[in-house]
Amino acid sequence: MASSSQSRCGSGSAASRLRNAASTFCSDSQPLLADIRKTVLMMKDIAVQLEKDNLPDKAKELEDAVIELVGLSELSVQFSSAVQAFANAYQPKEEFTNFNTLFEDELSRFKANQSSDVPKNPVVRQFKEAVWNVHHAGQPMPGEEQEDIVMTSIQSNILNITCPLSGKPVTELAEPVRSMECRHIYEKKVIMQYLKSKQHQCPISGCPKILQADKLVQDPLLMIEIEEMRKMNRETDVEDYTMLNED
Amino acid sequence: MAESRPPKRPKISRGDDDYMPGNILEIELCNFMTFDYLKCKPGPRLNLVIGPNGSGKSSLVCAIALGLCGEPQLLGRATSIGAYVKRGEESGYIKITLRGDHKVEHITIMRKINTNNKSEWLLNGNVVPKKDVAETIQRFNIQVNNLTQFLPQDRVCEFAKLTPVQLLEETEKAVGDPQLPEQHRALVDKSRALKHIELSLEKNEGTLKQLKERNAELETDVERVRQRDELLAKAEAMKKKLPWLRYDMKQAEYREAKERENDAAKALEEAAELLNDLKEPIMKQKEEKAALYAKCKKVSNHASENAKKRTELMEEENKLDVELKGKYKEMEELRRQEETRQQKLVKAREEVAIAELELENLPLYVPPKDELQRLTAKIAELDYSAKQMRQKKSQAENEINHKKSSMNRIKERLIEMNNKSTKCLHALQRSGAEKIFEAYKWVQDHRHEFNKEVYGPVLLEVNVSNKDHAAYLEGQVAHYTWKSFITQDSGDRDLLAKHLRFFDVNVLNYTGGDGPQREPFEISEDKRALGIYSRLDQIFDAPIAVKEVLISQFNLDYSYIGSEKSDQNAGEVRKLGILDFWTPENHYHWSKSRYANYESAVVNQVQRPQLLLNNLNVGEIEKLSSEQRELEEIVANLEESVKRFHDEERSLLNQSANLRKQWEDISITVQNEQKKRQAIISRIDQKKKFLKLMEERDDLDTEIAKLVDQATKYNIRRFHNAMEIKDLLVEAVSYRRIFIEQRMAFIEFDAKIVEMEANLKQHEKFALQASLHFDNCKKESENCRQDLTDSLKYAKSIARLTPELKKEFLEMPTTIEDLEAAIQDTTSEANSILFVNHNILEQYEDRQQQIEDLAAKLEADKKESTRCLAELNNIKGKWLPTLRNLVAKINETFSFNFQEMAVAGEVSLDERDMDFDQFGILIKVKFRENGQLQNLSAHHQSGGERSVSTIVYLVSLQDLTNCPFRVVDEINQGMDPINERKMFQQLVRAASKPNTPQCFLLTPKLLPDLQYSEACSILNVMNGPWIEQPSKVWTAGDRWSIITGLVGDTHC
Repeated sequence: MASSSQSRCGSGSAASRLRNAASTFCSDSQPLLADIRKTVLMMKDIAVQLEKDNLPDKAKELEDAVIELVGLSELSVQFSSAVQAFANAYQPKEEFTNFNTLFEDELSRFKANQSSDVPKNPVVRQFKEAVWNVHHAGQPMPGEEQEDIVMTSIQSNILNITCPLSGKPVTELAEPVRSMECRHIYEKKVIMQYLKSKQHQCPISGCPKILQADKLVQDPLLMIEIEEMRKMNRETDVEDYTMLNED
Repeated sequence: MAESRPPKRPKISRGDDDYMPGNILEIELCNFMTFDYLKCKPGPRLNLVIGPNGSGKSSLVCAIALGLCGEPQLLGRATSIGAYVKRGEESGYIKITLRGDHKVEHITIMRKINTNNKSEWLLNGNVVPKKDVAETIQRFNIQVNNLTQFLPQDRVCEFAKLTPVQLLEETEKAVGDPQLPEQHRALVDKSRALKHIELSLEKNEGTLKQLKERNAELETDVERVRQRDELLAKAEAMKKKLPWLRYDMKQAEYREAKERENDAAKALEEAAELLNDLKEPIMKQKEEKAALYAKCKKVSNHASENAKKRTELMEEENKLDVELKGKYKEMEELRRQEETRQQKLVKAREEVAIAELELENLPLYVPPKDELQRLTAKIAELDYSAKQMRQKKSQAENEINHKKSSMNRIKERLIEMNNKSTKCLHALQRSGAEKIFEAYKWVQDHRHEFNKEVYGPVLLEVNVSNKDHAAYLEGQVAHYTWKSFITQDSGDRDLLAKHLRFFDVNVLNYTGGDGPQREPFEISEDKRALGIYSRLDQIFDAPIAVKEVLISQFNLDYSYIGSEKSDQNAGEVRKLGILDFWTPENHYHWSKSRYANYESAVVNQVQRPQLLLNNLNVGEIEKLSSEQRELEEIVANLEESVKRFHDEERSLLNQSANLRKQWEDISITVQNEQKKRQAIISRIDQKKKFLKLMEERDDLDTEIAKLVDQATKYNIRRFHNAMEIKDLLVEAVSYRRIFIEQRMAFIEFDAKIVEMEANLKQHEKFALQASLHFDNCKKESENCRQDLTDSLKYAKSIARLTPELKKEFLEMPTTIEDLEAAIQDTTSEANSILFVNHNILEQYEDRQQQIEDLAAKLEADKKESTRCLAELNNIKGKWLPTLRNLVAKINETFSFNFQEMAVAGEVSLDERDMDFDQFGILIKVKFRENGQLQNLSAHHQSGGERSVSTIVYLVSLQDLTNCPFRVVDEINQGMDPINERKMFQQLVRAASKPNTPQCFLLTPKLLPDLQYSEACSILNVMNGPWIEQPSKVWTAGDRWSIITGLVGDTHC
């Protein structure tokens, strides 16, 4: 009796510790993903400059690096999910688990599905368009129609330009948070006050999702995307200035 | 009224003096209660002691009781003898004289008492013990504690409370036969003894019967005793086998314990072996866990380094980006600057042309040298003139300073003098001129209105340097003069008099030199020889007008001044023709009569000066004021000169300044013209240089090309950084994957180890238990071995195992249970024989002896009982008839007497068979015709009725009593007048009989119109502050009849 009870306590302890480790791993992965995203943006800027300097070979190398990083990012997300799923379903057994083999199988299964999709990733397409526009502005890329180009160029991960409650642009929010359900962006203080007033529907008109306080996250990717939006706005302003100068 | 009954007894031995033996002849008290001194000689029969309340009647009763060996408690008042000493006194005495057996024999009993509760007894003058006095009193049958004989005031009501039993006792004592109480007590004691003997007899008979019955029962038990003894012997033999059987059982237990010990040792060995087998895998897994931990640590460190590198590369990237942007901005700047340069170049060329044209048009300018020289010479001239003026001004200013210094000194002097003036005015004010200040102020304010100088007050104008001379002058001049004002013009006098009238001051007018010729001042040798050295008109300073007025008004020129020598030779001074002179001590003045040529001399003492206290010189004040005004004028003139010099100097300086300014203006103009030309030339030169410089700038394309190259280099560096960061990111992701794999493996290993350690701990616990079990078994085995040894020793000590004993044991049961059961059965069989003790024969014999002894005693007690009963009947035969006869007599008298008082009365004896202590006397009375005879008690009769009944009973006893005297205190207070009269008559009648003893009746009052017989004596208590004279008559204590001279026919 005592032996059995103690054994169960040990097993429960192991499962709990594994879940904690997995959760910590997933949380710690976020900064790394943000770094990958930041590096991709940096590479895009460098590629544009290199293209302007008539160094297309190096720009090509950067494109390959971007494809590799995007794949790595997706792989990391999948790996985190695999770790989390395993930890939640863990049951102690007599023999030891070979975690390396287990996770390798998961990654192999994911890679088989991934290889055909990476080049079509929106981030990669944005990179290619930026490089192409250096010398071929206004012209469609090879193999793409006009409509596709327009749709692709305006695509972004930021769904709402302004906070629906405070009215501020997302680039001016002090503490922007994003809903994990509908991915809309809000000012943290304002949305928390909104939820306290017994209203739980997303304040974006027409969005049917129900919000929860613990599902509003401030992830590094969100900051990266907002910064990216700021840069796009700045480029537009520069362009306007150039036109004035020409006048 | 019924016919009088004949007397019951013959006349007893009453003496010729009508007194009986034991009667009180005389009572003498000293410092007793309320009495200082009392002497009383009672009569032989009824004595009425009469006195108001608080006069001490009851004190007499107390004295009789205490004097005849009575105890204080008897009286119901104080309980200690010391309390009966009169308040404030230390001691007192009671002296009672009793009649002896003969007329001439007197027995004197004295009791001395003090506040220390001590008594001293004297019998016929001799100090004796108290018991001797008691014996004497007993001889006369005086019983002060008998209520029927001695009834104090405080215990009157107690008599009515007596129970029938108590009443009987008191009656027996009162009638005088001493045998009655003794016989009564003997009957009570013997009756009690008889009851005791009978009770004992009854008890012993019961005991004898029980003893006989018990012995009859014992005969059947003797046989059973022997049977019981045999059974007990058999049980004892079986008990000897018991220890040996226990020894066999212990031996079996020891073998079992030993076997358990061996089993425990084997189990312990197996557990230890298992424990060692389990520990080894745990150690191995712990090593693997440590290895995993090290790997995790290593991977974590690699990841940290990777992150650090990426951070550094990111920072460099940011720096390069900033520099790259800087380069691009620089390119833009260069392009913008080129445009600006071109514009500036064109503008510079135009400016050079304009400047050159301006230079050609500028005319030539010649400076005016002649004009400058002229101006220079004139300026020098003007400066010289101004300098001279400045010197003159300085001289004038120095002079002004000198004059001002002198003026300040004069001003200070005037201030000081004015202060003195103020002091003098104060002196005048104190001497009576209250408004002198106002007058002086008015004159000062209006001085300009006068035609001539006005002096005053005079005190302020006179200045005397010598104090002694001041005293002389003040004494010579009249007081009013010092506060006067002196004018020199009639108009001034009128004006001043008009305005100063309100200030209460005088105005004197000096009219000039028309006065008589004054005697010249000279001191002759004769005068000098006598000490005369001066004259009053010579010793003071003042304005002429003031001086002349004083000399003429007060003859100062005829008053000389001398010394102490002059004082000593006053007569000689007079011979020199001097009529008035002053010395330090005295003032001498001679006056001549115009009619008789008669001279009179007046000598006054010199007074201290009151007004001439300060040296004051009005003239000097005026002089100083004049000097001050003069100096002020001079200063004013000098200041005007200074001002003029100053103005002239300023004018000259202004002219010089103007000319200098003109000169400077011309010079500046010349310089400006030259500077203007030079500026134009300089500007042309500068602009040419600038133009040249602008034309030598570098080529723009070259610069831009350089910047483009730099930008390209920066981009390449950024490219390399980006690729390096990418590699690091790939490595970081790999590190994180490896870390989580190892971390999870570590956790799983740790859980396994925890589980295995728990299992190990379980086995360790099992091993520990096995070890404890082994120790316990070993200890138990040892204990069993010890018990076995002890058991063997014990069995041997009880009975050694001999062949005979073995043979005997074979017949007994072979197991402990069976043996114990057999022992129990045998013992129970023995105990089933029912008797208590084993000494049946001894008890039987003892009881037989007791039966015999008790029978003998019983016979003796029966005899004693018979004897006691006979004796009791004998005494009863004597006592009861006598008592019945006594009660019958009392009843006869009581009934007769009570019939006169009320309706009916009865006295009877309450007999109680053999309970002699319960015999009593019952008094039954009836006060109303329709009532029934009721026992006298507090529940049936009122207080008055009880009093009447009690008194009648007591009076009835007097016919039978054997007491020499009787005392009754205030028994008539509760009666109504009718009963009181009847009672009094009863007492008088009883007292008249020959057999009645001496009686004292105390009462505060008696009813009027009572009939007294010659047997009555009235004793009045003489006590109080107002009866001193009558009390002397009764000092001897004789009766009233003797005192009034009625001696003769009567015996009382």
